[in-house]
Amino acid sequence: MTNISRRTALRGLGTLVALPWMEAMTGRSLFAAGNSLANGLRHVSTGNSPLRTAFFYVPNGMHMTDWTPEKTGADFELKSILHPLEDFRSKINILSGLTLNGARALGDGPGDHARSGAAFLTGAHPKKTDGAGIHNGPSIDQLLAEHMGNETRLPSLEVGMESSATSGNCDSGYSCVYSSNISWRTATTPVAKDFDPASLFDRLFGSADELESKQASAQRRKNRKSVLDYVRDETKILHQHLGSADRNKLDEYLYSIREVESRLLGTDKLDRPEEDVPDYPRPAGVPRDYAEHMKLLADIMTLAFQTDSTRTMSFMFANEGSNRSYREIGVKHGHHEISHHGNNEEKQKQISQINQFHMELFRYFLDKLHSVQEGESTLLDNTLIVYGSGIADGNRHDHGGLPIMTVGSGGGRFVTGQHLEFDKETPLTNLYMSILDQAGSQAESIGDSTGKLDQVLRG
Amino acid sequence: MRLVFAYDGRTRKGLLEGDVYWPIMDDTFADRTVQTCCKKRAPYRMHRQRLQPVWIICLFVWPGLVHGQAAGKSASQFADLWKNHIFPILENSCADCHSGDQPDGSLDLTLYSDLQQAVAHRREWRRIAERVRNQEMPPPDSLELSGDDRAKLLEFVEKTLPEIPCGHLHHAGPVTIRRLTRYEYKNTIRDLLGIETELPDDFPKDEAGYGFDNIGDVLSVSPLLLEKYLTAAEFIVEQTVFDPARLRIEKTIRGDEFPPVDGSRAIEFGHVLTTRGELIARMEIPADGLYEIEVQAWGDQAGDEPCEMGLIVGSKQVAKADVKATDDEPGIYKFTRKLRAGENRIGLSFNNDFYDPDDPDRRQRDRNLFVGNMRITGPSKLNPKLFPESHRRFMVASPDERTTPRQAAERILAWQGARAFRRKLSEHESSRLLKLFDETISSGATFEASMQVVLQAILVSPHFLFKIEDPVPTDGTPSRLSDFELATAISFFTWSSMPDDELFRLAATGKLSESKTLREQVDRMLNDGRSRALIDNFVEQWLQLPRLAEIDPDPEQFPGFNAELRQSMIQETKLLVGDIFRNDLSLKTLLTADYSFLNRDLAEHYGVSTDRIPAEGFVKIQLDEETRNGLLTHASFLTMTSNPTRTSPVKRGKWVLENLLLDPPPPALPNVPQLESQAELTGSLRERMEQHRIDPNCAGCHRKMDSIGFALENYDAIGKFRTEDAGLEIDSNGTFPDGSQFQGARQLQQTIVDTCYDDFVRCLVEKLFIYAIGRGPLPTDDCVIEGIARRAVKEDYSFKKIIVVIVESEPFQMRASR
Repeated sequence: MTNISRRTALRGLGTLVALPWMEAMTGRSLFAAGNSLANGLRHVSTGNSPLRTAFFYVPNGMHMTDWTPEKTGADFELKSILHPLEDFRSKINILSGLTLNGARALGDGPGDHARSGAAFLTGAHPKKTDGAGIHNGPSIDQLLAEHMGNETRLPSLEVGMESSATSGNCDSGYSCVYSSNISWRTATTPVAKDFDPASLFDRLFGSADELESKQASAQRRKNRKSVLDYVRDETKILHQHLGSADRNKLDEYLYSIREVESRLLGTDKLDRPEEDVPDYPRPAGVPRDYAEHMKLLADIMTLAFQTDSTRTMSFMFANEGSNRSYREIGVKHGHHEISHHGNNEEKQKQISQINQFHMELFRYFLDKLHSVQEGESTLLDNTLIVYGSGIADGNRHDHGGLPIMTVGSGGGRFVTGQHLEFDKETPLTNLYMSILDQAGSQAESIGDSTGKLDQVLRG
Repeated sequence: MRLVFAYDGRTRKGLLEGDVYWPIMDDTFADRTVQTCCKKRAPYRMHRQRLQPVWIICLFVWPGLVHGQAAGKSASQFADLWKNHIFPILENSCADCHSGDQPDGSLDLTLYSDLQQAVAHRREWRRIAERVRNQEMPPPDSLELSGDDRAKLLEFVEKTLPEIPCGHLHHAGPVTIRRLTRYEYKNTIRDLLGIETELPDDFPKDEAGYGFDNIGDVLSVSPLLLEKYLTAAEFIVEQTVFDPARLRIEKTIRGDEFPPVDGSRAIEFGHVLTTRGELIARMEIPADGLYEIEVQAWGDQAGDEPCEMGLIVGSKQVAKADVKATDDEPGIYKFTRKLRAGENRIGLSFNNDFYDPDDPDRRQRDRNLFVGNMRITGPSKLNPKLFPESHRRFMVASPDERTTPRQAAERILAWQGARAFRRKLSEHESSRLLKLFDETISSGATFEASMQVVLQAILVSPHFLFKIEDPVPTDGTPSRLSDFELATAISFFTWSSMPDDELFRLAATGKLSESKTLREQVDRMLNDGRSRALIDNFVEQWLQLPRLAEIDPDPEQFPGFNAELRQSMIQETKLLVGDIFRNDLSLKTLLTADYSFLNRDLAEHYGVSTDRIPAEGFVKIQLDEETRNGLLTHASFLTMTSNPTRTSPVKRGKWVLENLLLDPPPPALPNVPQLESQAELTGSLRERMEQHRIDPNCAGCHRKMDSIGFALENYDAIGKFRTEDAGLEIDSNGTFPDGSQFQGARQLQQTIVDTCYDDFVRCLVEKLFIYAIGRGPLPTDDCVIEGIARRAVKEDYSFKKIIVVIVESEPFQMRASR
């Protein structure tokens, strides 16, 4: 579209917004060296790019035989599930032996799927309930967001391929809240995922109704602010008046008001001239094709990092326990159904195929991040991604020896290109402690953490 | 025993004289699944039940319970019977495992030494009795229970216990404030503002608890959702209230932009007319109304009169002005004219040219008109008919000669604010909202735009988005909902929407809570079209119909399946339940209906003749076929409970137990692979399952589940009828634990009606109860639910009747702190 002005192109697509970006998708980022727009931002002057983190969740476990390398150290081989990452071999770590104790029954009986999803980023042991008294723990991404989210317009992004289920208890007496949310702001507040690329785009970059004249949108923003002011005061008054369970609900509401208010302010702050509008069309909605859908989300997630709209995100390939069938790769049976493979080789092979399919799509995301230059390195290098599942073998529902991988060095903070094997029962949350530490957070623990994983840190 | 229904008739008052403390357990019943099919395993949740004093209400008794065997015995006689004859059996034969710090299955029988406790937890006792009756308890390797004792125990628990009046406990519980669900929000906007909105797909879905999405404890608010509420409110407000400022134009035509005519010439920023003539522009006028037309003009003045400028609209001169100004100081000439919407021909004419080349004063020789800018602004007075209907309905007052804008705003707020918050607004609340109005209008916005901001604030206010009830005393004293709260509770139960004006009126006069009025109102509401929400919302969730959307049968194996068929399946089930609901049919019909509602697609799918079915839409069809009758032969249910490539008898059985019989099987043991994942469904699966069931760990639960599932094996994974699978003939025989046998779907459903109809009714009552109140059942609800269910079975209640009775119940109308 070189001959058409971007403005025209975007208008045709119904998305003319003054966006806070750079030339999106063309390989430069806010933190690219010599970028004048970046000069105004706090972090850049130090020459260090801020730590960006992302957490990817695969449901129903992994076919471990096709995941865990035989050799440890730098000389490890890639098993079939990881084949799609061949080109990124030097940028990944396989972390073997980590454990998610909170996902275990611990006297609560079945419900491994719900627990695994809920515990994956929290390390907590979710309370068994199908309704009242939801209780889990804050998740690593949300702790990071709390720590540094005020520097970006959105503290965090929560993305997934599916919305939350709306009826039935999802797993053996566990509410669907558990199996469909890995991000938890507090022990009692899951953070809902965005699964619609269009909506995610709007959330990041402003929606179609902001296409109006500047004046109208200024008026709109002013109205929103007065409305939010009013609602906040009103809610506070109501808060004093209610009992404690009701107050908790209103606390969520007050938190949301503050959050949205700061986003509104953020929009003001980041209003940039029109030249910075990217050549990326607003997606039309949710594509039916799984891969297509994932790629759109990956594009937008890349844009979110690239424009420094957020610094942490979480992603679910499907809700935990998902029984989706992956016909696009010839797997007709439901994922959950075949994950109980009973050592049937055919089923194990199909599980492995699904795992690999997810990996190929993940590879797409890595390619995108890698195509964005940031100074001497790329956005991928400056990011730390954790990829894995809260279940190792889907048949046995075990939560020790999990399939965990990290990608990227987080701007030189973490080692790469290693297969590290940890002592049995080393909490997965120790990895999170290392990340929190590198992000400069003073957090003393997360979930069942007992310390940090020094081996993943670059000395 | 005297029957006292102990409301004090007013709200928020202590209840009765003679309140007494009575200890009851304070555990959450929902957590106490009795794990009888999986004996000897770690308890589900290792918590101890606290004993806590709780207020009681004297002699609260449900009518209808004091009959039967229990009649004639006094409370103390029952208590003696329990203490001396029944409880000792439990102590001897069961308490070894079911007591102590970690009782098996979290069931501590020693807590039931007092009969009142057993009475309060009848449902749990019903389950206990069932396990004992089925010989699952006590388990073979433990203490013995003699045949005699077993019979005595069962006699008491199954026959006598249910007849003992509920006792001296109150039946109110806490309800956490409930946010409007997506569905309720949409309906409420419709009823509040007369606007149909489709919420965008990215509006976050509501999380479900206890099978329903309207549970206060589970419904949350996230920043994402608040953002969506904000933008939805903006959109809705603009649809509802029309701001004339949006039509307002302010167009300026520079003089040199007029097309020149004979004798005219464009000059810099202007146009000069040297002879009679017209300068005409074509302009798009947005709406009928009054417009201001301002013209900057001056003249070369000559002769004995000033320049005369005419205003042309269409082809006529509609006004004129004397332009006395000269180029020293051009004048502004204003006209106010009615203009019609659409393209208008608007212009100016020079009417009195004067030319006298002989005049000795050079400046008196020639009269010319100069036109600078022409500006059109407006419209100012709009025809009210231009406003959308929602605008007229919402703006119940408007500023005029006798009403200031502020007064009009107050009037609108008094009415619409009360409707939105579902109660009267306090003075403070009004003034806080009016402050928004004042700020907006003083910043120069129109009256309408200022009201828009007020409405926007209302739609994001917690008072609108949450169903807020006054807090109850923290000491546990129950209190009754106010009439307005009651109106809200009923209307969201029956309509999934806000109360209508009639309910508001009755609430305002305090009449709604009078039992006769209440009953009339509920009847009225159930017969109102809006009650279809019960089908669209309650029934969908109860039968888990939305889950069908997630099922993707393998297209190679089931090429006939597509999105339309999926919708038709859901529609069939909703139409049947809707028919039973509307026509007050017996609930049995759900399982025995020999008719259904089919469209062409579905009829073909079922192999039913399409002769009587129109090309479009559904029609009620009498089904002679043996193979289609009752809910369990609906393709919706049969498909929803299947895997992508094959049927799943276990899932079908589990669905029936969970959703129709209130007997959810406990989850399989950890590390026991789910049976079905072990093998493909073949003719021998049944045998393998039967072998599997020899394992006592699994037998108890699978016996029932599998029997139900196998009886439905004549229907494939998308609900098509079949007689064989993979070349093997289907054996659709099944047996219930009580020995009743059946073959195929029809007999299975008949068996349910014959042998466990009370379970079916209890299940529906409990689901409706959860949905009605918006919380999971508490121990204190047991008696009420059981009582309603018993009467519903006995008197063959219809759907509507059950709903009326739930509304009349104490848990629905009263609240108490935890």
